[in-house]
Amino acid sequence: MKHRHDLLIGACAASLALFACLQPALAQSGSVLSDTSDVELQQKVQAQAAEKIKCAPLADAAKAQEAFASAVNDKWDRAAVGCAIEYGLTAFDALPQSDERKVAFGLELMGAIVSYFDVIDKSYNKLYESTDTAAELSLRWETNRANGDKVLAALEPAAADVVEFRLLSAAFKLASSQRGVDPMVQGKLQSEALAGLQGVMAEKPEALGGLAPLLMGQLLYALPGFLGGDVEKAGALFERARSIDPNNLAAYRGLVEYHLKKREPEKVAAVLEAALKVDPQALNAQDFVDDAQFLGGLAVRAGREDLAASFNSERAKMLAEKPYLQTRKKAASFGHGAEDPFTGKDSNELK
Amino acid sequence: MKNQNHLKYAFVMLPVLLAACSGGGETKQEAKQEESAQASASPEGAAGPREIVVEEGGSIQAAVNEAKSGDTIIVKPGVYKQSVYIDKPNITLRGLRDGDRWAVLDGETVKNDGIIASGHSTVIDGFYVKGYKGNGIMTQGANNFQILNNHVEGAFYGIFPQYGRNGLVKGNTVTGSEDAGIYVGMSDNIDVLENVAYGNVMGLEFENTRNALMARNHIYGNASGIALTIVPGLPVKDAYSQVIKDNKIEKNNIENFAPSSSIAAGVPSGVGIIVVGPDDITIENNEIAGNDNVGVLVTDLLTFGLSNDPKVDPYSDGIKIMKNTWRDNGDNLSGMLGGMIAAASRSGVEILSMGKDRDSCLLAEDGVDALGVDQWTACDPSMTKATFDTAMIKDGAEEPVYSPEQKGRLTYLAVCTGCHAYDSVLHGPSVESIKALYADNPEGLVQYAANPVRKREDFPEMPAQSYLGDDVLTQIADYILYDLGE
Repeated sequence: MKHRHDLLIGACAASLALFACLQPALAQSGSVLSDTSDVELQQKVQAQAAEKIKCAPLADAAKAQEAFASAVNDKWDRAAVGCAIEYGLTAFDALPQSDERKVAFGLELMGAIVSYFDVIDKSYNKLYESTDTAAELSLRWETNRANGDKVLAALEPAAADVVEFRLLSAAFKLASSQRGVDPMVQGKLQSEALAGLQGVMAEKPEALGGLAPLLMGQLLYALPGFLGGDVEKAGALFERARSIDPNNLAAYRGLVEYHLKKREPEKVAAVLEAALKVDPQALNAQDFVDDAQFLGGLAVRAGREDLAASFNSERAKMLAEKPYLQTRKKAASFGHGAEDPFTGKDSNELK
Repeated sequence: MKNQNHLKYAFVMLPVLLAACSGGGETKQEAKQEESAQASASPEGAAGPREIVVEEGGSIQAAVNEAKSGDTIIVKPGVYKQSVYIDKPNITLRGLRDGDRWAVLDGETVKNDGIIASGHSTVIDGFYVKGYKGNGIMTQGANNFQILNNHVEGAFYGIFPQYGRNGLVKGNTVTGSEDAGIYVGMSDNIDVLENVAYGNVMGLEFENTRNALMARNHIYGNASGIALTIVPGLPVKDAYSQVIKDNKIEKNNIENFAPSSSIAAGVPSGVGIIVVGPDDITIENNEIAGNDNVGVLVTDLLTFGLSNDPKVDPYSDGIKIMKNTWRDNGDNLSGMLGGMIAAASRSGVEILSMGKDRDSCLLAEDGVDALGVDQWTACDPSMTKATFDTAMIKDGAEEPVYSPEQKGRLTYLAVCTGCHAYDSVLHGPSVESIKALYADNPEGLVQYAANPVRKREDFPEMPAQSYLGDDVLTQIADYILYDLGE
């Protein structure tokens, strides 16, 4: 499995995200945003979005598999990854059930689908999204959810006992329910996912590079104590995830957050320093620049500007080497933006 | 509801009447005698601060343009279908009221902003503001401001001071806002006193604000009553030292009507006070009653799905809840929040904490029914803020002169972002497409913004921005074409 599964720790964290999913029953007419809720306008932008996410047809399944492999890790390009998954689905469908490669390829495709939720999530503006982009991202999300459901259903007869299948099923439930589902459904899916993760933890915690302890840690960290959350257990799970995969920067992020909350500055610094030793070339380049920005921001919060500068330096090197990567710089909407109007500086940058 | 409306006016009427009377009956006399639609100075040719009177139907902006620092602009009762921009210091803009007749600013659900002020020591007093698509009244980068005795109806943000230091928001009534009725954003040393907020998604809000007081307000019939928040991704990365005291916060149970694409859509209904992330908050001597899900909700950015800014501490620490009156909260659970409380086999909860806050306390003798507060301690009575009566700076804040670049950025943020997103379509075309269209042609952009004509069928007609004046429009154009996104 080539992709990383550090999908949930960022903006689309394994938090409840419960309020963000609440849908208002009505919009008072008047504001610009309520105007954009107009049914006719929504239909129009949704039709445009449907055109936008279409992928060029390929000649055959072999070409589709090739196209999947070549672009599925291009996380800086949500359209390319979206089409890679579509091509992967074509190739998966073309494999007969009897083909021994079907389960392995299906699991790889499922990993890509789960990771794609994070790619889409990071494409959203942090606070307000414009109508056309929101329609496109929402459609990509729903399409990815449908693709995941389809692949899981196809894999289940042959792979129900495979631990990686159960782990990816749990991860899919968590990731796909971060947007666009009723909060009650989201809660139910999270409960099911937690049960699935516990099963994997008992059987094979090292599966998929320690994805189970990472996701469980995120869930237990986010949940309130009276609903089963447990910050201490979460910290131990992040440590376990890191020990399984010392290159997994998502585990470092969880650990830094944990020690920050515990007000343990020396441990915060130690984890940040260890994260700086991870070889960026061993990681997906987009994941690295995103994680380096986040870890650098945590270093700022911890009062360690020196470590933030180191993350910034490593990130800048990668951006210079691969200028096509997303910097995640976002412009203002509705009176809100990251740029400081007095200084002109982007407050989310590390320098 | 009738009784509640009566209470609302009990708060508001006295200051309004006082304001209307200040400046004397002579000014009211003038309102009846003069029919001119033009601004005029009074007394003619006098040195020092003047009163400039705007007759019904006249241009308020013309009066602002004419005014000098220290002047007062008196706007007579009538309907003014205008936007007003105050870009100079020490201007008082006062609407006269004659019984039910106000000085009404009406955006006709076309214009974006009612009154925007970037001048320091601006006073905006006594207007009825309605029908604006963005901000009813906004200050942007203005220090020592006062927003007094206005009635603001509709808009996305009713009253929205942002990037201000040392301000007073007092005696206003706000209703119908799709976000917060009074929304203090990224500001310091602000008092919000004796306002009435009803029928908004959030009644009153402090966002990324430091050193602030909310007192003697009446907040009822909103989705959530008071929101104390830290929003990620903004230049101000913290929020602290807020005192919420002596307010009446009741029956905030209406359905959240924020547009689904806004973050306000995520605010739960049925909450008296919601605390999401700020530190050192005192909630004292408030009457908190009849909020269906919970009286006070102390939560964090993780729970809100907004923990995407690593520089922001997501937890609400140092919450002190003391000597409040609690009645009938949490008795009618609904939505996800209600589901969470029910899942813990509880109801009638006055205080709900998600449990990640630190250094918080409750006054033991209050006997409050709470959930998730196992780690809270007992407040020491000496923590009381009973005698705390202002967060404002005694001698006022400094009043820096902004550079053209700063003004361009501040005004772009206040005005342009209401309809334009950078790289995609919002209400108008993307800024990227505007940059391409007017590359190296700031004059063309200024001319268009001042007097736009409809160019594309698929976009609504842009309201004229001529009220901003050529200098400010040029600053905005330079920012858009040569700085933004570069």
